[in-house]
Amino acid sequence: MNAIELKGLEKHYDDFDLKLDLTLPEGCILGLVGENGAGKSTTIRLLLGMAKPDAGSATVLGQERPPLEEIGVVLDEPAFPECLSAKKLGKIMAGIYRNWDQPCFEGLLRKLSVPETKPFKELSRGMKMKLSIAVALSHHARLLVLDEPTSGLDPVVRDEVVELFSEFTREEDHAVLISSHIVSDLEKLCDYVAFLHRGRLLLCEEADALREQYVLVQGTREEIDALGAAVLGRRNSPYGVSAVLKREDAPESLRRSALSIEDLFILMVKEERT
Amino acid sequence: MKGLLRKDLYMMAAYCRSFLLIVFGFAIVGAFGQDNWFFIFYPMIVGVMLPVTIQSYDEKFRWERYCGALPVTRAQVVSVKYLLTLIMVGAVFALIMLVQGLRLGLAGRLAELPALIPILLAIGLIGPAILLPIIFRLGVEKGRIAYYILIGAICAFGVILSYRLSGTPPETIGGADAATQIVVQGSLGGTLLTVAVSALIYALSWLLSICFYRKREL
Repeated sequence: MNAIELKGLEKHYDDFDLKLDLTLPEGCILGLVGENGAGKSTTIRLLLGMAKPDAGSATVLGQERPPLEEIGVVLDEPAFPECLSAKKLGKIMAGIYRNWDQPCFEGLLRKLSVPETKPFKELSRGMKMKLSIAVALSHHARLLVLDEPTSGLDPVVRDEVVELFSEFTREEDHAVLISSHIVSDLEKLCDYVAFLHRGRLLLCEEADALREQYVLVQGTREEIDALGAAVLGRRNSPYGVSAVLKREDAPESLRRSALSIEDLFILMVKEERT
Repeated sequence: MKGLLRKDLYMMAAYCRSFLLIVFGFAIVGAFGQDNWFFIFYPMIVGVMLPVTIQSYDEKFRWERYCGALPVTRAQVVSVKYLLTLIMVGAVFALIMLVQGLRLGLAGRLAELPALIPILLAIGLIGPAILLPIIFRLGVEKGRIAYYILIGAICAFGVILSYRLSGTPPETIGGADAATQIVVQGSLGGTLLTVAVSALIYALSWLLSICFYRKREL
């Protein structure tokens, strides 16, 4: 079964349109990559039922109405009242989630070094995010929907958090949708990567397949220009031009180098903009 | 829903302590006034606005948006605010009745106490019944402005209408004399009717708020 299926999903605002088809199989982690304003948060709001689509459908864990009891959510901004401590938050969530697991929550707070009695307003941004993550992981969710969960975290904490998400998907029926513009985090974590740009999906592929299918080549401006429409993205520098191509389109004569997903994303988005 | 109510109570304890003190203080001061209606009714006006204050904090902290991702229905989110308002109405009502009961009892006028019931409950229920749907439709900031405009328009309309009908200046109609008349002439039928109409308006307001909030995008 697919954890998420978005079919012909559309949302129109005055200055922005989103149009999307996307599938996340169970047991997998899908990274949604996009610059600010690309439509990542809108996609998440639509699939959680926080906003209504203008067309198309969003099916989550096999249901048209998202089963929020089974979804752990971290939004881009930690959104707890500032007077609440983690301890009080635990008591509140126990009255909201049927499957709330208080020992699990307390264990995560200890593991992530989140103080139990400090009010939310006195926590650093990183601590606030860790508290949000602890809440999302403490009610036996089957799907995690994470909107920029690692932004504002230092590299050590980011690594810890990424490890937690990775552990979560060891269960076969678990899945994670994670949006971020920190592509390096997604490279470590994701089975699938989707590039979102101005409300449209540029591509959605298995992360390993992306590295297999695309290649970065270096050449002179004339050599790269000669490749025409095969060039999916390019970066000009005083020393020459780097271009992203499908592996089968890359001439043997040009020097190739390893392509990171971050490079692939940046170069493709730049190409779209031009 | 239990969790949402618990959250609101935690927030009320943290952010509304000064308002609760005002409610308590004015209710006590009302015991020493003669028939000063301001001190009798003001605690109720302040008390029932506290759930709206909590709602404004919910918006400020973006809890409202987060709530959309929790397994609670929009109807439950709305209902908790109405329940909290009822709790406040009940608590402030009990406090005022106790204080005024003592005052009127000591003055040998305890028979006048029941006449306070319809006025207190009408103030407690109708104010939030008007304000809450506007807030669930427009949000707290715009909702408050719309509420003040609406209340101002109703008052202006009332004053103009009463002046036109009676031909007397409005201050002798809406002032303490008229309120005293209500107390003195309070009847069981009138009390029950006022309470029933207030409760009906409150119930309709609750349904309207649910309808508005279901349509709102978070």
